[in-house]
Formats: sequence, C-alpha cells, structure tokens
Amino acid sequence: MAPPILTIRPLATLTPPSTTRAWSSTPHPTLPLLATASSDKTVRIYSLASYTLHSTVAGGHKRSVRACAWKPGAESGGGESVLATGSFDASAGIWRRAVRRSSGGGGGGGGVGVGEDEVEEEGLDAGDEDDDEWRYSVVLDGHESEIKGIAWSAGGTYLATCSRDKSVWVWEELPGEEDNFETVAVLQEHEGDVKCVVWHPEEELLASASYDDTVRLYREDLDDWTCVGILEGHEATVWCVDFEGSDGAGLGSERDEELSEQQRSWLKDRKEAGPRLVSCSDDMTTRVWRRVPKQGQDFKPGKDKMPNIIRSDNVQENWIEEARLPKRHDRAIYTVQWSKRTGRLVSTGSDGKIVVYEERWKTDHSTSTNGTANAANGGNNVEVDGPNEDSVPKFTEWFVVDELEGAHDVYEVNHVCWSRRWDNKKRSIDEEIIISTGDDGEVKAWSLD
Amino acid sequence: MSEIELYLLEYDRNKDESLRIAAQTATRLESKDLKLVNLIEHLGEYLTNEDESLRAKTMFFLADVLSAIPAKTLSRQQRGLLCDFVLSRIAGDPESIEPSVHSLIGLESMGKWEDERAVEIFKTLLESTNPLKQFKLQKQRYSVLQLIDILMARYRNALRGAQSSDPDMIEKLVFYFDGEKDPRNLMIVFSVLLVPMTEWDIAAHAQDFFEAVFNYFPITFKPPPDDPYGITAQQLKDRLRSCIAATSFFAPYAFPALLDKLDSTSPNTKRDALQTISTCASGYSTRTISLYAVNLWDALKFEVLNVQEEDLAEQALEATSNVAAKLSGSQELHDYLKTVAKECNEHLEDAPTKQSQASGRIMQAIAKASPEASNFLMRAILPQIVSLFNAAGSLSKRRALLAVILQLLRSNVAVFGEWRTSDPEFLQRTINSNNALRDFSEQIQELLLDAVVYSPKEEVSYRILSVNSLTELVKLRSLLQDQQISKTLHALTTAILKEPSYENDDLRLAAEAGLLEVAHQKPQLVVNEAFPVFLAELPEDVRSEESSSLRILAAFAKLGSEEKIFETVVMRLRNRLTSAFQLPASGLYILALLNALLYTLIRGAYKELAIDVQNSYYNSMVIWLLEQVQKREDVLRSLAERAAIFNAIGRICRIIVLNQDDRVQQEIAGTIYNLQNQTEQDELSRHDSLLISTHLLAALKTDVPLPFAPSNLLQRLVSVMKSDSTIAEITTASLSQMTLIVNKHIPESELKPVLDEAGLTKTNAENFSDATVLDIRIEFSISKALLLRNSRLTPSKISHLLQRLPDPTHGPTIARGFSTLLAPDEFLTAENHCHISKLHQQKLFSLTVPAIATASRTTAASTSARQNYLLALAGLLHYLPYPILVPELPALVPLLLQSLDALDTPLKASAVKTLTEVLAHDPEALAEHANALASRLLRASREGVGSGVGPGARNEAEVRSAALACLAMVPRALRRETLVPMRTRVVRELTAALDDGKRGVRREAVRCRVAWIGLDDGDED
Amino acid sequence: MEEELKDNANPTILQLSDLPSRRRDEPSKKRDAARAMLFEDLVPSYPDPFSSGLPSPTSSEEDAKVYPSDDVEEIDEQEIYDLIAHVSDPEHPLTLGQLAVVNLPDISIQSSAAPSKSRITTARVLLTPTISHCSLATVIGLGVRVRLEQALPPRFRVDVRIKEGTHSTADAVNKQLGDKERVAAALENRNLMGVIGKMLEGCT
Repeated sequence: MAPPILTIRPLATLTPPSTTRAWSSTPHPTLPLLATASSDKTVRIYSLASYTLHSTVAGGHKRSVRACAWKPGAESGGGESVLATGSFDASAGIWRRAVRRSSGGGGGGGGVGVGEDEVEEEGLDAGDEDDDEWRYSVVLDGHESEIKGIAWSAGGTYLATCSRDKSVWVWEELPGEEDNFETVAVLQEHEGDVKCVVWHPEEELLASASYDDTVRLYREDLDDWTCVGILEGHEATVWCVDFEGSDGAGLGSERDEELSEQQRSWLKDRKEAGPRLVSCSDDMTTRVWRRVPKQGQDFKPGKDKMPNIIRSDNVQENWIEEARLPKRHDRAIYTVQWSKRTGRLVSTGSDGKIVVYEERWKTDHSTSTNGTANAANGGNNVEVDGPNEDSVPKFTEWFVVDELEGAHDVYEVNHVCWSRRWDNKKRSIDEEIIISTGDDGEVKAWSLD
Repeated sequence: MSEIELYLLEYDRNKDESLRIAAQTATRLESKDLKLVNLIEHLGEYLTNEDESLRAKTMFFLADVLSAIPAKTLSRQQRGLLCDFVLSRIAGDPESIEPSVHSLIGLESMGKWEDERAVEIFKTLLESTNPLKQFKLQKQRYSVLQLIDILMARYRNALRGAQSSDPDMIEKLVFYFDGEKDPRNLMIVFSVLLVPMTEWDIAAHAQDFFEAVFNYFPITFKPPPDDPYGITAQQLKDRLRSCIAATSFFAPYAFPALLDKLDSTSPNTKRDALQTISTCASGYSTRTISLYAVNLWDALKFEVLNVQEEDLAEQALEATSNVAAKLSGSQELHDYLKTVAKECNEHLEDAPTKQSQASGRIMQAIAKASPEASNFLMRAILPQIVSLFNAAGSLSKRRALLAVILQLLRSNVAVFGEWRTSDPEFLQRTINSNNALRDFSEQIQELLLDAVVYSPKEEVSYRILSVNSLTELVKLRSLLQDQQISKTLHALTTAILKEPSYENDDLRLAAEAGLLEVAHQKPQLVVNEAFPVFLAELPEDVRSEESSSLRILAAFAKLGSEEKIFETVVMRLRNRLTSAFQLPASGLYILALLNALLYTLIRGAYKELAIDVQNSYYNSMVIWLLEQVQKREDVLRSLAERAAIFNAIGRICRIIVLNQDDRVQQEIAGTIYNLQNQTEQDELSRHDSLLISTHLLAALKTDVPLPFAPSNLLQRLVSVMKSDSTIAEITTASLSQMTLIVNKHIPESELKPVLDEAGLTKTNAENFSDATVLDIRIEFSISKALLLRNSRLTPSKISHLLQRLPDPTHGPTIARGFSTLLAPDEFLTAENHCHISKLHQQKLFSLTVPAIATASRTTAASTSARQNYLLALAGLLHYLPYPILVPELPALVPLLLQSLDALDTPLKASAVKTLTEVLAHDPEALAEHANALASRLLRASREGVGSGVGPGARNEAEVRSAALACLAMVPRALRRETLVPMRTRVVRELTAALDDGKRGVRREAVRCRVAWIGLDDGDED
Repeated sequence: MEEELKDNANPTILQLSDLPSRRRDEPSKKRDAARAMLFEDLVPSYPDPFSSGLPSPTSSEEDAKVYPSDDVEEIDEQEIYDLIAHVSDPEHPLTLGQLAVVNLPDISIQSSAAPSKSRITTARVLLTPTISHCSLATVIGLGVRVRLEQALPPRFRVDVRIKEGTHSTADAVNKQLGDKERVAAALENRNLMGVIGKMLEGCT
C-alpha cells in the first residue's frame, strides 16, 4: 500500500501576534487553548477554536518567559486551569484561572470547542469578569539562573524545571495542600545548561537534554531521585527531547493480520521496550533512542507502572540510538515533537524549516543493519546512517513526509508541536494540526493533508 | 531724638532709612555743625552698653557715616584718631568686627595710611581676630578678608618689611585662615596667601603654608544653580594651582602629594593633579625640578603609555614637556632626557604597538620644549630609528617608525621654524643653536625618498607618511640645501605626474599638497624645476576625457594658490590657451584650460595681487579673451560644448571686471551693448555673445550708466527666449540677464514703468490660462529680482503667483517655481553688486507661508490644489533658514506631516529636513504628533511598497535617508514616556530599511534603529 | 595599578588609515572624468525645478556621490566590516579594527544553497583575540553579535566565532556565542548590556 502523500498547508496565523520573539507554545491537554511563552515577559493564551487571543498571563516575570506547561487534569471537577511558567528571571510560576462547564457553541474568544459529537466539553469562561484574571498563585524560587524548560509528570504529581545552572529540579505539590510545593530532588548530573525536560507518558521517568551534548534519564529509587541512564552520541547541544506515545502508534499492533510474522514479533519486542525517545541537536541531527529491555527478569512496562525492582543497581537503564532521521536542516534544530496519535515526528529550527517524518516498514525485509531502502514516496529515497552499536535488525525506517521552507518568512522558528484541531472546519474529531512559534513573535497553525 | 537713636530704631526696620540718617550725620560732620569728637562721645554710651548687638549696630552707624562722608572732610589727624578708636573696638569687641572693618575700609579710602599704620592694623587683625573661623557668619569673615586683601595689595612692601623683622607675623598668618569653607572667601584667601608665598621668606614655614592651601586639593566645589556670585570651580582651581606652584620651597611636599593623587580613580582628580604638576614644572626653579624630573617622568609616562582618557594623556604630555623646557640650558636636562630616550627606544623596538605609538607622542611633545631638548632627542633617537627601520622585517613596523619620524620632524619645525617665518625668535634660534637634525637630514631624506619611490604602490598610507615627512623636512628653516630640496621636488612631481590612480588619489593629493608647501617655502625652485616638467606633460591637444593630461593640468592649476608663483602659473596657462585656440584644439581641452585658468583666479592668489596688477589683467585677460573669441576658427562644436566654453570665458572676465575702475566698467557696458547688437552675427555667435554678456553684466557696478534702455534689453531677451526657447543655456542666461537688470540697473521709482513698457507686468492677466511655462519662469525671475532688492512691487507679484497655485493646468509648474525664489543663484549675489536685502527671506516667508497654511486648510481646496500648496511650501522651506519658521510652527507642523504623505518628489526631503530642524530646536512643537510623525517617517523610509506614495511613485534614496535621519532624532528629542509604547513597533518596522537597496540609506537605518533600541524601556530588573 | 588587571596592556595596533574601507568615490566613471576637470564645484549649477521630468544636474551630481549608481548595492563583507570595526575593546580605548580583532578577510557571507528559494543569508565573522588567553573574548564576541543583530536585516543569520588556533578556549567560547538562548538571555541582563553598550558607543 503506497503511503498517502501529505502536505503542510497554512491554516491560520494566531492574532494578534507578540511584538517580540515568541519562544514556545503548549496546547492544553483537553481544552481548545494554546499557551505561548514570549520574550515580552508574558504568556499569551490563544483560543484554538478562533485562533485569536483569549487572555494574557502577565505581571509575574521580570524577563522572557521561556516555556510553560498545563497541569494535566487540573480542571476535572470544575477546578481551575493551572499553568506553570519558567522564565529567564530564574523563577517558575504557578498560575490559576477559573473554568466552568459551558454549553458548546461557536468558537469565540471563549475558546469553546466545536463538536456536536463531543459529549460535553469544558471551556474557559471569558465572559465572567470576576475570574477573567490569571492569578499568580505560587513562585518557585531556587534556580540560580534562567529556567529553560518546565514539565508536569503524567499524573500531574510532579513538576520538573531545568536551568542554565546545570540542574534539574523536581517539585511536588503536597497532596491536599494546594499551592504548597516542596522540592523533592535537585539533580545536578549535567555539565552544562539543561535545555529541556520531559516526562514519560505514564511512568515517572524524567528525561533532560543539555548543552553538554547528552540526554539524561532519572527515576525515584528508594524515595531518592537518581540518574538512571545517559544518552550519548550528539556532537553538540541537545535542544529538545520528546517521548513517543505509550501505544507506539503508527505501524499498527502486533495483532494486525496484514503484517508478517516477523513484523508482528518485532512490534511485540518494541512494545515491551516501551515508548522511545527522540532528540534533536545543534549538530543538525535528529535521533531516535530505544530502551534495551532488561535480560533475565520479567520487565513489564506499560500499565502496571514501575518495575518491581528493589536493588537499586537494577534501576540503571540501557538506551541505544535506534535510528537517525533524514538530514533536512542545515542549521541548529530547536524542537522535535512526537505525535502521540500518528507516531509522526515534526522538527524545526534556525533554518526556518518545518519537517514532518513518518516511520514505515522497510519494503524489502532483508535484515540489513544500516537501513537503506527504496521508498514509495518519490524523492524521499533516504540514506539513513544507522548507529554502529545497534545489533538489532532494522524493520523500519524514517521518511520525510513533507518539508516547508520559511515557515515564518525569514525568521527562525523556535518551536513546533502537534495539537488537536478545534476550529469548525476540522475534518474529524481527532484531526491533528501543527503549531509553530517564531522569532517574528507569530504563532502559526498548519494542517497536514 | 538724636540721629544715632533714630538710626538704631530704623536699623532693623528700614535699611534705606537708616542709611539716609547716617548720610545726614555725614553731611553735618562735613558742614562742621557736628564735631567728630562729640559724635564719638555720643556713641560712647551705646558702645558701653552690655547688649552686644546694640554695640554692633552702633558701629554700623559709624561705618555707614564714614562711607557717606566725602573724602577730604576729615583731617589726617582726625582719621588717625578714628583708626585708633576702631582698632580699640576690634581688639575689645569681636561682635562688632564687621562694622569695625567696614569703618577701616572706609577710612582707608579717604587717604592712604602710613606704612606703620598699615602694619599695625594687619598685626591687630592677626592678634585679635585669629583664627578667622571664630566668626561664624560668612560676611563677617568676608569683610575682614577684604581688608586684609587691601592691605596685601597696597602695602606690600610695608608688610614684607615688617614680617622680616617679626617672624611671629608669618606664624600667625599661616593658620589664620584655617577651616575657611566659603568659596567667595577662599577666592580672597588664595590670592592673599599668594603674596607671602612668592615674596616673603617663608622657607621655615613652607610646609605649613603648603598644607594651608593643599588641604583644599582637589577642589570639588559645585556652584549652586542660582549662584549670585558666579564663582566657578575653575576659578578656585586656578587660584589654588598658582598657590601650589608659587615657590620651589613647596616641591618636597607638593610633588609626592600630587603624584599620589595620580593613583586616584576619579579622572577629575587626576586631571587637576596633572595640570598642577604642569604648572609647578614651569613655576619652580630649575634646580628643584631637576631633583624631581625622573620621578615625575616615571609617573607621567604612565598616563601616556596607557591612555585612559585622551585629555589626561594630553595633560601628562604637556607636563613632561614643561619639565624639559624648565631644565633646558642646564646640565640636568641630559639626565632627564637620557631616561626618556632610553625608554622610548625600547618601546620603538617592538613597534607597532600601543606604546611605541605613545613614545612617538612623548618625544614630539618633549622635543618641542626647546632647541636643546630637540637636539638631544634627535641625536638619541634618530640613529636608533634608522637602524630599526633598515632591520625591520615587516612594513607595518616601518610604517610605525615613519610615523615617529614625522612626529619628530613636526616638533623640529615647531622649534626651529620654517624658511618663510618672520618670527625673530626663530631667526635667532637658527643662528644660535645648530639644529642637530642637520647631521641626519640627508640620511633621513634618502630613507623617505626610498619609501615613496620603491615601496609597493598599494601601500598608500605608508607612502603618504613618507611624502608628509619629506614635506616637513623641506619646510625646516635653513636645513636642506637647494639641491637636496630638488630631490624631494622631483619625487613629488613624479608622484603627481606618473602615479597610476591606485584605488584612490590620496597619495597624489598628498604629493600635490607637498609640492604646494615647497612652492611656499622655495617658490623660485619650483618655477625653475617643477614647471618645465609639468608643461612638458601638457600636450598641444587632448581629445579623451580619460587623458591623464587633464589631471596634470588640474594639479598645475592648483599651484596658483601660492601667491609668489601665481602670475607665472597664469601666464603659462595663457600661453597654452593661445596655441589651443590657434590649433584649434578640441573643445574638451580648451574648456579644461579655461577652467584651469578660472580655478587659479578663484582659488588662487589673484585677490592678493596689488590693485594695479589686478587692473592690468583687464587687458591681458579680458580684452585678450574677447579677441580670441572674435577671431576664433569656427570648428563645429556641440551646443552644450560651446555653451560651456563661452560660459567659462564669461566667468573669467566677470572675476576680473568685478573690481575694475569706473573707466573700465564703462567700457564693459559698451562691450555688452555691442555683443548684444552684432546683428550681422550668425545665430551661433549670437548665443555665444549672449552668454558672455550675461557674465559681464553680472560684473557691472550699479552706478555704471548703461548705453541702452533697460526696457529694450528686457524685451529683446524675451523675444530671444521665445525664438530659441529650445536651448536651455540660452533660456537660463536670458533669464539671468533679466534678473540682473531688474535688480541692479533700474531705480525703484522707475521699476513699474520700465516693467510695464517691457510688458512684464501683466499681473492677474485674464488670459492667464494660455500662459506658457516660459511666461511663468519669467514671472518668477522678475519676482526674484524684486524680492531680493525688497522692491515695493514684490507683494503683488508673489500674491499673484499664490493665487494661481490651485490652477489645474499651471498649478504644478508654479508650485515648483517657488523653490527658485530663494535658491542660490550664480548671478544674483552681493559680490556681483546686486541689491540683496537682509530681510528678503523673512519678507518672502511672511508673504507666503501663512497664506499657504490657511489656503490649504480651507475645505475648498481640492486634493490637487492642496498638493500644489504643499509642493510650493516644500520648495520654500528648502531654502528658508529655520529660525524664520519658528513663529509659524503650530500652523506648519500639520502641513509638514501631510507633505510626507502627499508629496512624491525629492522635495519631500526638504519637508523631512524641516521636521528634523523642529526636533532639534523646538521638539515640544511635535510632542503630541509623536505617533503620526513616526508612522509617516517609517513610510517615507520605504522605497515603494507600503511607502505611502502612490502606485509607480517611489521615495528617492535621498528622501529615504532623510526620513531615517529624522526618525533617529526622535528618541533624543521627545519625552521617553510618549515613545516607549512605540519602541518595539518602530524597532521592528525599521528592519525593512536595514535591507534597503542603497548603502547610504542602510547606514541611516542602522543609526536610527540603534537610537530607538537605546531608548530605555525603564523597567528595572 | 589597574593595568595589571588587563590581559594585554600593550597590544599591537594598526594605523586607522590602513583599515580596509570603501573608497569614497567608487566606482562611478563619470565622476573621475569630472574630477579630472577638477572644477566640478567651481562651475556652480543649480537645480532647475522647471525641467520637471529629468532630475536636475545638481541633484543627480550629489546622488552620484552619495548613491553611486541606480542599481542595488548588496550588503557585502566590507559593509559588515564597517559595522563592527568601530566596536571598541572593553579594556582599551581602541577599536576592534585597530586591534585587528576583526579583519576583512575573516568575514564571509553565504546565501543559502542554490536549490532552496529561501532568502536566508549567513554572515560569518571570525575574531582574532589580541592574545590567546584573552578572558574577554566572549564579551567581545557578544558585542559583535549584538551589533550585527541590531544592524543587519532579519534574513541574516549571524555566526560569530573565534578564528581557529587563536584562542586557548575557542571551542567553549564559540559554543556560547552560537547558543541563541544564551545570547538572548544575555541581552536581558542589564549589567552585561551596560558593558556592551559602552563597547558600541563608538559605532556610527
């Protein structure tokens, strides 16, 4: 079956744009909202239903806001939306804003999602004057210099921050006591700025990327957070890391009848290994990393969380570089993001390009150790120089689905991510769009079809 | 009630009244109806009162009376009596010190004291008012100081005598002023102390005296904004400095203390210290300085070797130089200079470095100090430099050494002067002290000649250095022999004649400047040796613009600016021209020769010639040229070329005729007439004559009677233009003649009739619609002529033109015309004896601008009409000096802003320039327009798209950069608060201009953007 | 004395006149001819506003001086040099040009590869510190980068690096100067910008 030919098409430019450099944008997990961190010291909340500004989170930070993160599940039970922000002023902030159930309807500034087929949906209430404001509820001080990344753990239990001071901090919001955060770990493993932190989709496994060219992994072991793995190979600053979705979407499941025996067993192994990691770097490469399952003892990833290991030396994990994405960027790559729905990857960087990649079965099933293939997708016949230490035969390889020059005119693009599509023209409930954030202060939405 | 009682009553209530009373008493004393003794007796009872303020007031009474009494009223003996009395008060009653002192000053002004008396008073003060700070009030101390100042000034010898016999006096005086803080008082203290410091024998108390003043170093006084006494920190500094430098006895304390201050981190302190050191270096005795010379050097050199602030380095250099100057003539000079030379030589070894450069400066400064210093350094440094130079591997090292050589030569010129100096001092010096440079001159010259001739052609700056050094060498009085100078001369001429134009002409220009300098020092040498070479390079004919001969011709003409050889240059050019005319040579060449001639006349020394010589040029040039024109062979040349040639001839004649005597001027008037009336001429020659006669007319004085009626001439000119209107040169020349005639040769009273007669006053003619562009131009020319002479006819003319502005057909042409009214003009100048009213700009402004403002504001005005108004306005503003506009600013600013959008011609730039002026001088006028201004300027800074100009139209590069330059001023001119909100937007939109197609525009864009980025957004971390 | 604090109290310096510069009257042949006649400014010519269409003699003459020709003048290496040569060294009252920290041959401009249609252009500047252990290399580099980011249009990517073999910790410095995020943070640091500001004062 020939893979569909997809194209990145401009969908919308969110208005009004920031007048200065915008750093990154984070879509709300369940609401049609997007938080954009800007060098004007504010976070701009846009409605993804109308692609217009919904509200502004201002007055907290004294310098650039570099990144922000929505607390998962915060709204459930009519609670408030909770946004965490990390700034160059070395502080992180927790912001709250009331939400209430709202009957669906046209996507106005309120950012109410459209979709008769959705049972019910929460939307921020823009109308209610009383809580139209974002409350700066907690300041997390501790880092010595600019905070560069911030992320909530899957369950929203932990908040991780990273900084130029080479450290990664893990904070825990004490159960019951709202707004009372406690530092549970200060991880000083890296030898340079820590550029980005990200949590495993369900395990309490934390990954960080750094100026020291490495990626590191951390777990709690005997209520003490330690480094459990290190990913080496990049030859320059690693700007960004991201985990694959938990169900490794993209190539079907091992029960899929159309697949060959080999392919299915291979999928099984992969599932055992658990979600992979992708990293991108100043060295202009993007690499996919895979965990090597522990020999000799039953390692069950997925639903039943932490492996039941007590002896801490077993906590160590071995990750290897599985593949390298086709080289399309000719300057630093700032962001790569993994679509949890389609398993596709999107990357962007200083050259202003947006590139979308897809993983496909090798057309010939010969088990070469460095995957060369003749792809269906014309012009994308790619040479992927595989990592040497990889002994595992390759069944898949990555192709460029589409690439776009000058996504933000001549400006650099700092960040790109996947988001559910919310406007009324969406084709299906779970259609995905790409959202890019640039030095021109603009945030743009792109469809892929 | 007695006068004293009244006085005491009024004293606090009414000063004037109390003064009047005192004056009254004074008159009574004068008229003898009050006896002095009685007065004193009468005062007695109050002076014994225990209320001290009462006693003080009483003494004020006496003081006021005394100051009111005319001199001569009191006898010497009476004054003596009073002195004793007052002195007793001073001793006894400190409270009334102020009035007592006033009384004494009053008495002193009535008649000089005997020395004994002066000394007595001085001592009493030292006795009973010591220390002065016991008096809390500034004015109390001030008055005492005044008295002491008087004593010091008028009784100098007496006091000097006294103190020598009474050491006690000095002791007291030293500490007398302790703790004085008030600037006004200090001014006096310093000048008072200066006397003993310089004239008394204070050896024993040197340290005390020094500290008495040095305590105040450095002066950090900042006068209050509304200081009534206008005492500046500088005045205090100067007086303090002269105290410190007053006597060599201070040296042991001063130098260590001052050198110590050099370590200060405050530049101001260092500056004071350095200045003071300089002054001391010249103030103290040679012997003293010799003791400290080396220490000083060690400290001072540092400021030069590691420049922090340029002016500090300058100060340090001056100090080192002063030391050398002081030591000159003494043996110690050598020890000092040995140290200097040693160090400098070391730095020169690793040239080019920051410090080798510094040593160059140092040596230049020191060598300037005196012939001895110069000679020593030349001997100590030059051999070293030469050997380093020859050993040097890199050109950059050689260049650095050359730079030092040049500096040394300059200093040498400063010491020994130039050939053509008339300053007797230099003449003496060159006779007395043999210039040590002489021993090296040959060697150096050879070295420099090599550098110019044999070093790679592209090493421009290197060779320029050598050329300049060679020039200095030639300047030097009685140094080089003529045959040596000839060598340099030869090198320079070759550089000028043969140098291929590499990258730019800097080297050739330097060589030309050098040659001119030689011509100044040794005119005859240049005439004999350089001229033949030049002329050999000038061919009979030249046909290509690229020919190097033209360049050479230019260089030759420049020599005309040296008065001693001016006439020779002119003669040579004249000869060339003669043969060129006979040949005939190409128009190009003839034109070049004419222009060369013209250049020498304008830029050359023509005006410095004796008047009779100038007169002789009438025959040798004007007549001669006109003959050439008559009997020239008519080779067919392009109209433009002919025009150029005849204009050139015209211009030459004009310069010479300008200041000829009446007889000649009269003759010229005739010539003009003939030129105009050679009816038999063919058309071409008519044109030629017209051109020449225009320049001649320009040269005529107003009172020269014309052999023709102005009106006829005017009419003829009009007809000429109508017939030959195709030829631009003819039109402009004719128009110029009209303006000249109207401005110079018609009395105000006859203007109207003459113009009528010539048919030039068809003001508001109904048939205006079928007026031609030519008619309009004539209108403007006449108006201009009238305007400049401030004729009564001006207003009607101007208003007529204004009325026509809205006219759909002629409006635009007229609008453009307005810029001509004030535009600079080759002919209408004061030099050409024109009537130029001082007020004409002001006049035109008031006639036009307010009218335009109102007219364009009226809703009636159509867009096209408004367009014309704005265009006319821009044209006027282009030449109006800014101050004239100021009163109308409120009305103008909106129009200017409109112009930015409405206009699409280069004239837009003048609107922008005016706005720039407004920002510079009256920013508040634009305060509330900040936003509109910024947006419009941003638009004007774009070439096409989004530039606000209509489709097709574009903003000229000129306009674009003007707009950016203007926008760049905004951050400095307007209030931060208003701008901060716009900052990000402006900074962002300016990125477009950063990518402009033109470099010049981009340069402005960068400046502008940086200015806006620099605008502090005010929120703190 | 504070001298001891300086890394290099006595740097080698170049003559201002030798620093590469754009020739005043380039290239404009017709001006050379006029110059040869030497009398261009001698013969006054004034704009004739009535000859509307064609620009008046004077203005075109002036334009010829300021704006040599009508075609586009691309931003070239010399222009970039002129932008940064006057940045002054933080420890000497001398410019980076005089100190030969910036040199024309070490400036290069590459437009992006042929096939791609993007207008992105890379300006690369290699710095030569006065001495190989100059502790201020980073500050100097930052100054240069800031200057260029202020003065070049956004389509330019600015790469400021230490020339190979001229500095002991070149790699570390380069990595910092290349890190967009760090530079951005530095620009928000007032103290640092104070220093940079002083360095840039001389730029006009």
